[in-house]
Amino acid sequence: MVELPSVKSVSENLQYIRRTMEAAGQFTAVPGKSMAAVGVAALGGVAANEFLTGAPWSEPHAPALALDVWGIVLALSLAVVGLGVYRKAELMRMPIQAPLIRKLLWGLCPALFLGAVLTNLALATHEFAWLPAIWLGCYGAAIASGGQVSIAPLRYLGVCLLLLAAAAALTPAHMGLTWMALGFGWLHLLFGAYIAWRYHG
Amino acid sequence: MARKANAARPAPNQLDPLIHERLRLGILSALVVQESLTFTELRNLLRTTDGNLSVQARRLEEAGYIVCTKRFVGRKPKSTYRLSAAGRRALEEYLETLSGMLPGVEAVRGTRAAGPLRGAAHPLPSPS
Repeated sequence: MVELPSVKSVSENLQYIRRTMEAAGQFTAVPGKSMAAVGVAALGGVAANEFLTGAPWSEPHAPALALDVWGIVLALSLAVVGLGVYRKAELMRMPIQAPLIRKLLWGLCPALFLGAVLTNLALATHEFAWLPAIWLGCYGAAIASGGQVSIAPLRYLGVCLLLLAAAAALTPAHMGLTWMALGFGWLHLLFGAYIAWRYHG
Repeated sequence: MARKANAARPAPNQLDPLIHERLRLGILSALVVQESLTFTELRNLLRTTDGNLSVQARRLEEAGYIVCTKRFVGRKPKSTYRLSAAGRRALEEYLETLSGMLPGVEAVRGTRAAGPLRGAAHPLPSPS
């Protein structure tokens, strides 16, 4: 058997176990800088949307234009975050483990799927004013849920987005873009900067 | 030849030398959290070399603490590791013994670890 270790050595061993478990069970390659970039893209989207159509997109051609703008923002954001995750994982020399990715996707996808369904419903019924609340709410739910296997700030970001979704649902429709600017823009900038500072990139 | 997991079970209050080695401890700790991990994932997570991981994983496998499944993806062999019930029990006992040696263990248990130090009765999380 092994000689009885010192208190220091016991403590170190326990800390090592804890660190290993955390590393194995947490998706830590969250790119703060990319999140901040997403915030900037979203603010650009809000500005373009405001300039082109304004909210709540009740003009005859407004919904299509607004959706184009947000479709571009979405595609850009996915590309930036995807690249950011890859680069941060490389930088941290942390593997992107398949089981963790599976858990993360199980956390993210249900709410995002619901968001797609509700968006489709809102478009079909011409209830465009609901879109900011739907998008903020479903995205927030996805982030809060996916954050369970990732770093804590993601969960707080999700909760903040959910609160903004509630605000968007309870305030007049013309304020929709304001809530989107706050949620998709400023919150991402704020949390992205914090994550970049606190979690090294 | 795999030996029985409890063939060399340590006496109470003694640390299992098989688990006490740092890398083997890391392998078991990682597999407690994740249902299964591939050789590459474990190697990258524990930041070790192929040879070292291979040797230490085999020792755990021989003890019946982990189970290795080998298959081919294309022409490349792929080893996947899982924690066995005996491995989980051995790690729990190891942690219990280790925790008992630490006078201020309550202070450590109070940390945010989703891991071994939370709760005394069932200290290890279940992989989901």
